[in-house]
Amino acid sequence: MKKLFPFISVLLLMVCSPSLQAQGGISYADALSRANSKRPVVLFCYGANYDKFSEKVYDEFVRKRKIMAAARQTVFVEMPFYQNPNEREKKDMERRLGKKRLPGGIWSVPCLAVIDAQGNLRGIVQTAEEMKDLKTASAALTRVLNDYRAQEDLIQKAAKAKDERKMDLMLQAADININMPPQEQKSSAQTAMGQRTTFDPLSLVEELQTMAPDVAYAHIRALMAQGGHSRAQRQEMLAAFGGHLRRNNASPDRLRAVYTEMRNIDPGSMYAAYAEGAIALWVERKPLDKSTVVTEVDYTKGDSETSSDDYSDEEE
Amino acid sequence: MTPRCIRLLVAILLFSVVGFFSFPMVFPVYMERAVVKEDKVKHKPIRRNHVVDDWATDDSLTKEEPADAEEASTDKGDEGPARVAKYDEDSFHEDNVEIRKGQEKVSAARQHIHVSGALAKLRNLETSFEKDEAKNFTNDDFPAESWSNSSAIHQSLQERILAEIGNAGEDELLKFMSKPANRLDLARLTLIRKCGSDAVDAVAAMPKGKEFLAALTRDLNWMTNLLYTGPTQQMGKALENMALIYAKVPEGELNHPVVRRIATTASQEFARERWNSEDLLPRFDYYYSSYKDGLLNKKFETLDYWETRFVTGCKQPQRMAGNWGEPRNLRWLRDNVRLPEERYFGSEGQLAYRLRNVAGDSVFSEEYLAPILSYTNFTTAYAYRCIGGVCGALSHYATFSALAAGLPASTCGEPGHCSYAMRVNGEWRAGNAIYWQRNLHKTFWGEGAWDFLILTQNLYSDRFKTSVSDQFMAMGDFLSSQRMNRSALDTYELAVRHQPLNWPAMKRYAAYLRKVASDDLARWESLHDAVMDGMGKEHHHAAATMLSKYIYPGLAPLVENNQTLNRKFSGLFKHFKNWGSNRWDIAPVLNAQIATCRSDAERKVYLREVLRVLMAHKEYAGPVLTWGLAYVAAVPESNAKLKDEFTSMLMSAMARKGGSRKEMDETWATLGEAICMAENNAEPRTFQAIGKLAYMKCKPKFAKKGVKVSGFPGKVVSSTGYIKTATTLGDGQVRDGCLHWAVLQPFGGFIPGKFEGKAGLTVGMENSAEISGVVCVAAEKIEKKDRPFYIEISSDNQNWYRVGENGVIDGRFIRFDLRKAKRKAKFVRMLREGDKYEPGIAGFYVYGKEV
Repeated sequence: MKKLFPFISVLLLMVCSPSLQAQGGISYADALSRANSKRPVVLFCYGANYDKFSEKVYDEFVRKRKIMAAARQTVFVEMPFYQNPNEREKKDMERRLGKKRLPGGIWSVPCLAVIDAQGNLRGIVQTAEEMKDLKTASAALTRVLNDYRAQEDLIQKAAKAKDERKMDLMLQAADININMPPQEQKSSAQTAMGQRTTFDPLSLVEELQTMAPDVAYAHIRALMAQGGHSRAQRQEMLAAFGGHLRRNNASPDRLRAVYTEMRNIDPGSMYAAYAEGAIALWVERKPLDKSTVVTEVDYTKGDSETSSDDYSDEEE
Repeated sequence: MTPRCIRLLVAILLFSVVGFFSFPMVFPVYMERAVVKEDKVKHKPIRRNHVVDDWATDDSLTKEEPADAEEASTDKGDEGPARVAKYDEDSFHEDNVEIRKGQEKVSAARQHIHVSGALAKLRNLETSFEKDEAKNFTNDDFPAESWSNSSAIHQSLQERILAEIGNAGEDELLKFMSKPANRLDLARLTLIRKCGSDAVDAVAAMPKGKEFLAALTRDLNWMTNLLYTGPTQQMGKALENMALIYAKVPEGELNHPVVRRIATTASQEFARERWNSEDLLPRFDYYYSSYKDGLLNKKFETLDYWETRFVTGCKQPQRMAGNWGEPRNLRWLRDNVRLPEERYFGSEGQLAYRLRNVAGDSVFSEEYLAPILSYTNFTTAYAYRCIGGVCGALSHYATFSALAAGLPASTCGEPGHCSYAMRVNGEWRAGNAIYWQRNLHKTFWGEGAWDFLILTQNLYSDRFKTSVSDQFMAMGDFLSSQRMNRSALDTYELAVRHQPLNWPAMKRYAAYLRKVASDDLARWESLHDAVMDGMGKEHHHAAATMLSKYIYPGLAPLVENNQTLNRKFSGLFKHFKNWGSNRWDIAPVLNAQIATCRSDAERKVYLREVLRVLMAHKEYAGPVLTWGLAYVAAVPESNAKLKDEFTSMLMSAMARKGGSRKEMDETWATLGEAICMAENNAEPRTFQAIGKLAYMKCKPKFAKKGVKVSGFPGKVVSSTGYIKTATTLGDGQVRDGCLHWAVLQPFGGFIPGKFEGKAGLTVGMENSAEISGVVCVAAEKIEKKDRPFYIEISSDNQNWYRVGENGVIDGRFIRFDLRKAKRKAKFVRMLREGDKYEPGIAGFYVYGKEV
């Protein structure tokens, strides 16, 4: 009896817990209908007929159900990606999709995509680093799901709040490092959230072009003072300003100050790394290894390897 | 000077003379040493690879030679077999042998080999090749130790083959080829000849070199895959590369078919592309370890050798162009862009399209990616994913994502643009493509046009058919080296008739024909027909290129009657029903055809004939007019009569194009192409003639009336000129080329606008004029006014002067008041600072007084 007890408990748990039910067979459309703000869809996409790595991950994560611990309180769906599918495979994919289309942003499989009830991709675990083993993937998925729940919580609170409080909550939600649902952004187009969604760093670069450095500085500061911009957007403002200063031969000290501020906004981000690189290159003047420098080949110039008349016959 | 001094001087002189002449007798050793020393210095840099008879050179003087090689060369005394010269694919080497009886003459009349019967037998051979491959034939006739002297092996192989083929008649050759042991002998001999015995001996002297050579040459499948699955340039280097890999991998690892394929194809491509051998091992290791770890797409396991060359031979990193082909980049793409085959097509969408980064640095500058490179571990693909890029980065990203997974793809060049070719489910597709002028960066025969990619695919997909053809070509090469000219010609002909898609075989046969039977009209005609009936069915561009480059130069001088030749020329286009696999440039073919004309009279007859045939062709009508206009433009002014006659022939041909509703679209497209060429040639009269013709025939295509323009004093002097835009026109834009003419007319038209540096919108007027002002009408309201438009003028289209700054922008209008400048000019151009695409232009009017 003692030996039977754990077995019976596990069996009961599996039968009773909806989150741990075998849901691999349900369609994506069904999964969306079952999802809600507390319980997103976790889509496990994998290469079904061409990828040994996917097969290995599928076996460990899904067949042996080891990912389920991280995917608690979600609607878990298996989504095979077939290569050049035959008729049977096409039908299988249609059945699994159930007249819904997958969101954009799934760039590599196997992956674990977190999707809300409206079908928006909110977060995804798909890099090689994140998917390298069960432990890392589970930790990454847990992190995305926690972010999702925190963001949803803030959005729900914002829905009930008013004016400044509402905006403050929306901005807090948007600062969480996952995608905001687009409809939430649209609904706040006239607010600070709206500023955030309409911000275009390249237009800012153009605007700065005609300004003297001090005027440009004042412009950037005024923009930042408006509030509402994300950390990445504030870094982009400083990147634009830094580039403008550099092209106007600003002093190394001034450049250092701009890039240091840019880095400190979000030290773990890609733009922080950009700022570090900029300090090394343009402040400390560390020589750049020419062999590593990359530029786009200018295909519009006549001397590129693909100039307009280069498609003509050439002898080997 | 005292007599004593004089005696002393005479004595010194005598002593010097005697000493000079007696020195060699007294000190002979030193002189010899000195000579040897000089000889050493002189001979040190000599490389013997290309010299047939150089084994007589003192090998002991070449310090770099490995010990084994030295030993081998001393073994080969004067009595040993002759060294084998390396032969390249563009020439024919004949051994020092006497011509056999019956082989010395190649009849001027056609040699009627029983082609149809022989071809049937060749088809049977395909089946036996396939069966033999399944059995994997091997023999150990040449064990490892024998490979220290490849010349001896060559001699023995030569004797064996000559004994087997007898008089090299058709039946004898077929019988020879049916035995795998014979084919293996032929492959061994071909390998040694392609490398040259010096290169083979050098490989034998490498660590495990002899063992490698024995392993390779005992295996018919391996040899067949090495020699007959694509180009074989730099075979000696390829062999050296393979030996390097052989020495590195665990014993027996190259017996695994996939690992062997990776090693062989990577070695071949690194040799062919002349890439550094040091980079070969990392590339091999990437695909080898990725395959072993199950990280490549499963499709990689089923690729043939020729397909694998695209993958393992993907472009090596180039200075400043990113490390796309470096293992670290391939690894990143393999792990972070893992998709089904068809989803790699379009995967460039993962990158943002950006001309400038967030700091405002241009994508073409060093500063664009530099700060992020360290963060991305100098991984180009990752860096572009972080920052974004333009066409080059996007196309490389998609291409190398597929290549990293082991799937064939290649980047392509288009005019001012980069696209890519990717194979999806067996079919090549062009990705991120804008223009039809597409030039692949990975080619087998140096022909980058799209049709050649499809030809390569069709040729090598029919694996056993092509293998039979290639092995007959190898036999033809052997027979030609033995000066068995007639048999060689028959064998080559069989090879190309059996597989008429075999581009390199056709090219080689034509070259041999030119060498030994250049006056044999029947054979040239037979080859011409083989191209038309084979390649010409589907591969129009390849067939036309083969004819124009390699067959017309041999055939045309032999055809007496000019009419016959012209019919043959125009027959090429009659034969083609459409463009084939992709649109192509017909100008080189037409140039090659007209180049065979010997007088202006012949040229006129030719032009009349091609216009008659091509103008009736929906696809070719526009391009033939374009070519004709370009040809006329190149006729020197001194030959004004021919120029005028040609122009009127072209204009009449255009005028004959139908203007009915049904035919209007076709006529519109044809005239559109022609008018774009007139723009390029800067010919206002032709431009105007075509424009007026289009207005007459296709009036509904033009606007009924334009916007009201408030002008400047004088009349519109630009309406009889031509207009040209800086941007590269796409297919649709060329089709609507006649609207460019309308831009100069009161009712207006459309021309795409692009302003970048010194490139903008140029108008060339019929006559010089004193200009009072310019009005430009944009197709839509000009929203951005941050950068000024300005006007430059020129009298020679070379030297330009800025006369109008800051054109006044008002809605759709840009106005330049030049009344104060009072400048005369024949050319006017409008420019704008910056490098942005602008809205199109609907009207452009230069006002003034003609002078």
